[in-house]
Amino acid sequence: MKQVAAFQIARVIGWVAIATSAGVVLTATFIESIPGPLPDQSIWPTPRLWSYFRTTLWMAALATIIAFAIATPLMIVLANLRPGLKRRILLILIILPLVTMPSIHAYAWLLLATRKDGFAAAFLNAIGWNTPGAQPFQSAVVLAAWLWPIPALVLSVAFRQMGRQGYLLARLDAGGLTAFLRDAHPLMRASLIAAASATFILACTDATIPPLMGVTEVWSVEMLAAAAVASSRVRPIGYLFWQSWPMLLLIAALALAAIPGIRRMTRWGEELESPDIGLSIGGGGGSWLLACVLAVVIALYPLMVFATEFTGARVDAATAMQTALKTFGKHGAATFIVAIITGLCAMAGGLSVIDDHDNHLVVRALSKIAFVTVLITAILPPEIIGTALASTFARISDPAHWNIYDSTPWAWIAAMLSRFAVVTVVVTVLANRRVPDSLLAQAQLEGARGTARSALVRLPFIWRSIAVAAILTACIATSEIGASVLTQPVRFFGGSLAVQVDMQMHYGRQDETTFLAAIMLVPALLAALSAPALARRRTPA
Amino acid sequence: MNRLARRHFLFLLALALVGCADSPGGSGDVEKIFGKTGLSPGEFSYPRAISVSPVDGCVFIVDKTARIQRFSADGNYEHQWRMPEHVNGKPTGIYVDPQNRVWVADTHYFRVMHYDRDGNELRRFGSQGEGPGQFVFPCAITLSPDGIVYVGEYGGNDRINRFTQQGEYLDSIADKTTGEGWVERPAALEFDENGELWVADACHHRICLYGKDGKFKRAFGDPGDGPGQLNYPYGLALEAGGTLLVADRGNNRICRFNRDGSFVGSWGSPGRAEGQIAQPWGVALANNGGIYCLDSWNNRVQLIDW
Repeated sequence: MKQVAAFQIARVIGWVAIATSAGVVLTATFIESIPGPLPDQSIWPTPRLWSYFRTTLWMAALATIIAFAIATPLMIVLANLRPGLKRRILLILIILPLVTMPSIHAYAWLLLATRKDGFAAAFLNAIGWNTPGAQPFQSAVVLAAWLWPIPALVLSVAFRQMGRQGYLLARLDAGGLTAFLRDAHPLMRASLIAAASATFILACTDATIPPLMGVTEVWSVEMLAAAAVASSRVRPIGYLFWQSWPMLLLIAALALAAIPGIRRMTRWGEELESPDIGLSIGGGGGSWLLACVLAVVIALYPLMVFATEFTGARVDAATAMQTALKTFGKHGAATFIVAIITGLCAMAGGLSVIDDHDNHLVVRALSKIAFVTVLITAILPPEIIGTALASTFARISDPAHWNIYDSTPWAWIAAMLSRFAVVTVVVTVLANRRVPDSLLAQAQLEGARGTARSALVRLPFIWRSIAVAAILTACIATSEIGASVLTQPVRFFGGSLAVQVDMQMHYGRQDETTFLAAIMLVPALLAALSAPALARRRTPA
Repeated sequence: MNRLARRHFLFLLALALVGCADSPGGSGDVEKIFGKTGLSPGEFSYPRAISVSPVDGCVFIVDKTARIQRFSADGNYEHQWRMPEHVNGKPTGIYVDPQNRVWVADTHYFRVMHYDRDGNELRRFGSQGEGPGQFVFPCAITLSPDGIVYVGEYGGNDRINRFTQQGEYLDSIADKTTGEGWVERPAALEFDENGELWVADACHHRICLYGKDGKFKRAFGDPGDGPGQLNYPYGLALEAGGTLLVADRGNNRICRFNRDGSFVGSWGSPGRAEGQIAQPWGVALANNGGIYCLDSWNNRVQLIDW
């Protein structure tokens, strides 16, 4: 019974955490947007904003195309590897760039571009990197270097579970490309759309890579600038919403289009039997090695760039490290604390969305509301999330001027939950679907119902997935910038380390920034190492 | 989890949930606060440099919208203008000379802009590059008592260039060849009554002094958040009594030092309330003896008596 009570408590904590984070964001956005644009705001965006939207769209489209081009060969190899060490290594290498802080990618490319000779300089010149006005192109390349794991992972799952069988059968009477387009592609279409949508949305909303690459006339950067001054408006969130409703509409449409593909991810990690027709489509020793080399280059290039910067003669690495730790150690502590609480709350949030058909009606309703709230909030731009939480929590105060925003880090934690709890929540739901029906029926026969059944039967199956997803969530939260910059209380150890590192990239000293960027790779590495565990199937005794 | 680990964890959790600690700052009265978040006249979006006219005490402030706003000495908005180009980035250095003219280090356009007090352009000079007299990112500007223009820059060159007021390049000081005296991001430049130059050497977390001949004399400050330590000092002001004020951006405070480098005290603690500051990029002296603290993250200026 202890286990059931603990489960119930965790679930309540999860509901409260979601209500006071994503719930606040959605409610505030709804309340402030419904009355329409502000008096000095037109419903139709200005020509300047339209031009920003256009630049954003083509930059995101280019980033998506490049991401798919990088992902495809790796996806094929990954999809054809049997579970084991080889696949785990490749998975880690694929996940690492995605969980690496976006501005670290940008910084690594900037350092590369400043080199005057060598292979990297020749390569960058060859692809037109240094052409005047190439900043949007540079930005698209860096966005792709960050986001390509999304199509690689989603499509490898889709190909493994749907496309591979069709492809192998089609190869009996058709060539490779025809077989793929005719038989595998239709089965994978939903996943393809989901991967493209997710990549495109993240490329559109990122406000860290474009400004570092010198692109400021895009929607995301404009949103960040608008959010910085939105607090002077009567309805700050309404102002942001109506300033960018066409982009929000597009993002919502893309998110809806991605749902069927995400649903098919339920069978993540499952192995389906494929017909043996004597054909191989990758995954052998040679292609694995080639894929690994490619993945190592793409995944670890920031680390390699930073390492070579440190070995440069003009940098005193030891002093830089010492100074960076002295000046930014407290920010690291703040970020660490916030990440841990975010991970714990995300775990509780995951438990709170577990639904059982014979739960009490209220419990079922709360679980569903929590799930939908988390999903919708996750696609909102970080600037809206940050503004909603900062402005709401700054108002909740007592007569002694204590308020949640200034006096506690909850606004910051809530922002991280609003953005990233979705990872834990979706993994929980997907893992929950994999609990065998027969076991649940057996439990019901033995008298375990509702919460008791969730705690005693479902939880042993899914806790490992939830824990890994929570670690992933916490690690990603350490490198968030867009919402952190708006919600971090400066009184809480000076605020986020990621924000400081990003500021360093604009204003700071190169050796310290390089060291800090390398430090920021540690949580990314931890996340990448823990993520493959999600794909493993475990059956409790 | 063993008991000790659990205790540590609970301590961290309690610290995070109960609240954020205030670090005590030195005593000093806030006489006035002006400016607030926004884009309207008299409002700011991340103000990044401040200078006070030695003629009429007017306060000139440049913010991240590339606007230069002029306020009266008591903080009433008077006038504003915008930089001619600002897409690439916004200026981070401003100086008002004894003729009441405004000099701006137009950081991302690699040049110096020269205006009268109403924003009418008088001259511009500078070009991008690493050669003599060229800029990577000019970030601070001032005039010596004999009228030489000093421009600090960062981003690769990291030096202080000297020009005539007509924009003719003279020479550079504090560059990488000067050894101990090399500055990285000289964020603020101030001349004292002896004609010696004080520099907020931001990335080295110290304050440097250069003689009339441009030679490095000495420096003080080291990285950290303890008394007398600095964390990206961005602003500098020399007080008549022989002390100097430093806007210690990373530590969210204003520090006062004797000119020999001994620490006198600090004002402000991190936060948004009156008397609290966040990421101060600048500090300047009012002609009546008060101190303007450019409270950048809070989009305001606090006039303090300290």
